[in-house]
Amino acid sequence: MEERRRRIAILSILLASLFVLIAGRVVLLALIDGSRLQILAHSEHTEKVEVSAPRGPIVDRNGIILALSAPARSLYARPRTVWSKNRREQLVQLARILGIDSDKLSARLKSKANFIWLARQVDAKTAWAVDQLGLAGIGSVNEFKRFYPEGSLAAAVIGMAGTDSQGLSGVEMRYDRAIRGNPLSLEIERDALGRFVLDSPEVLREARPGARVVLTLDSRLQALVETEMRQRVRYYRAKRGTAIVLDPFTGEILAMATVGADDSEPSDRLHNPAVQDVFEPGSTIKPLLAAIALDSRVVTPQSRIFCENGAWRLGAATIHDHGAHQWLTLEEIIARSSNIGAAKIALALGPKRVFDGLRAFGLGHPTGVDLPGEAFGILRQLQIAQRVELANEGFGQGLAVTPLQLVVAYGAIANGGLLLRPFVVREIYDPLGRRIFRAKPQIVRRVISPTTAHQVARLLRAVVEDPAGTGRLASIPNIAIAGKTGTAQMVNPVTHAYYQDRLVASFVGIAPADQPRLVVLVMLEDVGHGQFGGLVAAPAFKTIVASALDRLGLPVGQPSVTEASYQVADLAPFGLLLNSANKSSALAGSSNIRNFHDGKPDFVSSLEGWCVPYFAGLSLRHALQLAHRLNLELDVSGDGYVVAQSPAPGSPIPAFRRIKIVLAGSVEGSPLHNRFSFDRARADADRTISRGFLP
Amino acid sequence: MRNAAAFSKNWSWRYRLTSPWLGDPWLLGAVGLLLLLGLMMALNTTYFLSLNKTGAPFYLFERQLLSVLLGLAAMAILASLPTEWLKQASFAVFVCGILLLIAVWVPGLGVVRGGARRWLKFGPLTIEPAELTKLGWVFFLAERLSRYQYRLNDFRRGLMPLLAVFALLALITLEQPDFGATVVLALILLAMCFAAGVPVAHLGAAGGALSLFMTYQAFHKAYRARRLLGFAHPWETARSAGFQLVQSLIAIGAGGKWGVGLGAGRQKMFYLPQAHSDFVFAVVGEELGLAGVLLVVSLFGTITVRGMRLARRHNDSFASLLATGMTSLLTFQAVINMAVVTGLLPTKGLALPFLSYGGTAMVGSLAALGVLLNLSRQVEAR
Repeated sequence: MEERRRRIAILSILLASLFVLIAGRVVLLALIDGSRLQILAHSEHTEKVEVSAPRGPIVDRNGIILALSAPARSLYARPRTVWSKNRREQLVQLARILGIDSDKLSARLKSKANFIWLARQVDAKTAWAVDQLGLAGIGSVNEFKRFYPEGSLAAAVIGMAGTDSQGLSGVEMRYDRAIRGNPLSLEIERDALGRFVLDSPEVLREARPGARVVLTLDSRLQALVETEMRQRVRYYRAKRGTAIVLDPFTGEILAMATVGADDSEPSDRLHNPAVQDVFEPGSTIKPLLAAIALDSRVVTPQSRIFCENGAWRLGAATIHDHGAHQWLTLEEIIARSSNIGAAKIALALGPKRVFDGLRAFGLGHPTGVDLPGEAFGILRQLQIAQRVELANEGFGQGLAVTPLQLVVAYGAIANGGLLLRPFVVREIYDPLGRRIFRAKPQIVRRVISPTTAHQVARLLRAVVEDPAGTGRLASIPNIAIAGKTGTAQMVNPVTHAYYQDRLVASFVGIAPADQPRLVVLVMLEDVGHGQFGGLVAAPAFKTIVASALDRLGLPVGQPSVTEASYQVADLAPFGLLLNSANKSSALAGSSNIRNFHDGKPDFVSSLEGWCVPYFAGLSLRHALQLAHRLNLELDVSGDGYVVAQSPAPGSPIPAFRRIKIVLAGSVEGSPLHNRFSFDRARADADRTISRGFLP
Repeated sequence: MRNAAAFSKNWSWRYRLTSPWLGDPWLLGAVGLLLLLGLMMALNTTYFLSLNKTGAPFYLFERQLLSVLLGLAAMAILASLPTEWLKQASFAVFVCGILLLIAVWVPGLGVVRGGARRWLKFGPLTIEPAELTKLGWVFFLAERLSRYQYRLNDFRRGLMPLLAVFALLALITLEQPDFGATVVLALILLAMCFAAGVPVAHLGAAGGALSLFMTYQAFHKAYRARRLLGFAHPWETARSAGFQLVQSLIAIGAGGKWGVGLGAGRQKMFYLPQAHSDFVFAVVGEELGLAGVLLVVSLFGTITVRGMRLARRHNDSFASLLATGMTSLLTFQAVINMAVVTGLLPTKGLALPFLSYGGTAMVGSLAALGVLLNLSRQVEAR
């Protein structure tokens, strides 16, 4: 018995020591490895979640909204939960609501991922219907959908943003960082099945809604330019037309548009030919060459050059003119667009001065405009022996420019010789309304002397005013116009030879020539034989300039009888844009350029009742009030805020006074008030997150 | 007056603490605390599991509560029966245990879960007979060792027959398979034989043979080899074999000194497999921290020390060996479980007495405690 007691005592010590071992192990784990294990636990239990902030609005220089973000709901699924918790019939119902094939839906839900998007940014009705189904593993979150209330207006300049709020092209891309803002960054605890835990999430970084970007564009001028170009393109069966309106003293782009022949095809938001595509400038290069020649004193305005009676053999090539000219002054060479004269000037200058001069005008190098993907253009440095090539460059063959490069180069002629950096964004405001950026005119370099610029401008007036000038159709009564026509043959991409019957017709001009305000380029691509720049592009230039000067408050003389019918038909929607206040101040002789730039939106009051008002951004109630006041009837679809309307603002009031408006983003508070709607969205996100928690 | 003084003395604090009616207050207190903690843990760790499986968050907790009540009833019965009855019934109890163990192969009764045939199903009730067999094994050994004490020095007539019975048990439990039960049965055999006075040389030989056999078994089966790999290199195999251990270590580490708070643990939310049953100790570590873990360790330590104290104080060899066996049973189960959870031993599939979710184990542990209380009442009464 004593032996047993002894053995039991030994056994109890052995057993007790086991507990000491365990205790020691646990102490080591908790104290030595503790911090490492705690970090592991944290990273395992938490998930970073970003709730996107609304992109900032993009508005034109008068505050008209061209792009805005409104709340929309996006549906997601957690496939594992969906399969384990729902019956098949419910999924069929879901597919019906989403408008997709149920087999296709099943295929998507077969995904092994923890989380997949079912449908992004659907309308409130669909989201509501899906919520009503009450399927496990399917939920919705608030996102922001990008709307372009003016539709295709200035589409190529504005560009577009993707579904995940990322800028893809145009201003949306170039200023993406400012427009996008910061998403709300949250750290949320979740269980091992990926479901969120009730605890309120920890905010890693507060969100900042995107900034408001103010463009230099004037949307009414832009609309006018687009309408005019579309009509011209159709009429002349061109492939497409490009127009740019530039303020030569600041570099601001007031309008920039490329339109295709087919109105119905979706506007191209990803490609902006005005800065990304190049073309052979043709005769529009001649004034630049003349400027270089005058500036380097190779010629004077009075110089006479022999034009070889319309055909000049130069080596193996022959250069032709449109008419047989003998001795022409520099003015006549420009006005009649003599190729031989221009070629001789180029040869007189020599390859180095031509290259340096055109380079100084900004050719062959990006203008530095604040738009993505700008092309360089093609400008070669020729050898002295390449006489034919140099002669060809004299009338715009063998080199390529972007439409914007050409406009900016003419801007230097208009403003007294300075090359400016063009831009499309004037100002950026943060969500609290503080200005965080303001574009200032930037001088790239002095290209030519003011005297030369003045002389070239006078030469260009002759193009329009001389009875033999090629640009007579661009003339506007009482307003001096300086400009140059251009007709270039298109190059066959296969044979690299020039097409004889496919032309690029263009006109670049300065208005008013005696007191420049605008430089306007009009270009029609792929017009048929005989459609010269002076015939095709000059009238479009004239329409655009006449209306644009109206917008600037400059008096436009009475159009001649023959012009009147055309102009009235064309300008009917926009004639109403005339502003009496502006007109009178202009008549009072104000020649202050700044006056235009500081112009405030004042059209609403003066236009009310005369044309379709501007509904974008209004709530339904406010839209109805406005419609009631103007005795209009509304066709309403969707709910939330007006994001689209038809007819467009500024159009004449249609028959039966019916306006269609489309609303989206049904969260209270105006989407324009970023801060407020964002707080709502965040509260919503919080709710969504807690809803993600089982059951 | 004298009566009054005696009365007051009799009803003194000390008297009540060492009441022959209640048994050892230390044992009772330690198990009471463990049971309370265990119920809190069961509520806390089965909440999400029940919700996920059945939609009723308290389904598993209610079942556990029922097991505790059943176990307390078993404890009370065993604590109040005369010890002599226990001795007389021990062989029958053991045979019953073996029969139940074999019954898992009876079609319609046996239940297979996760590849193991360990459970019996009687209507709504599922029991794990191995937990009861362990009790029977202790009874059997105590009875045999005390009856044939005189011939224990003879290997062939002493240890040999017991090893033969163990071989039978091992055969059954390994066939189920329930490796953890085999190990516990072997350890109980060694501990009780040692206490009973079997020569150390015999025990050493038997122990050596048993550990060789166990090692062979451990590498023999593929899934056990996988467990060994997960045990040896948990961090390298954190996504496969070592997953459970890594999650367990993370839980204990995340708790730090004082824990994240009762109920606030995250690992039980499906990160840590078997958080409510075999790995509940890790959840204690996460939620109550080092302090909670050391409390649990010391409570089990208390049971061990008090149980062995009983064994020493009984003159009757059956009672003494029974106390040794029951204490060893509880101790080995607790220590092995905690060693597994802290990564000191490879995964076995053993429950932590009083804390883990599981009906039969709870009843079995409380029954073992009932036996200890029974024996302690006699000591206190003496």
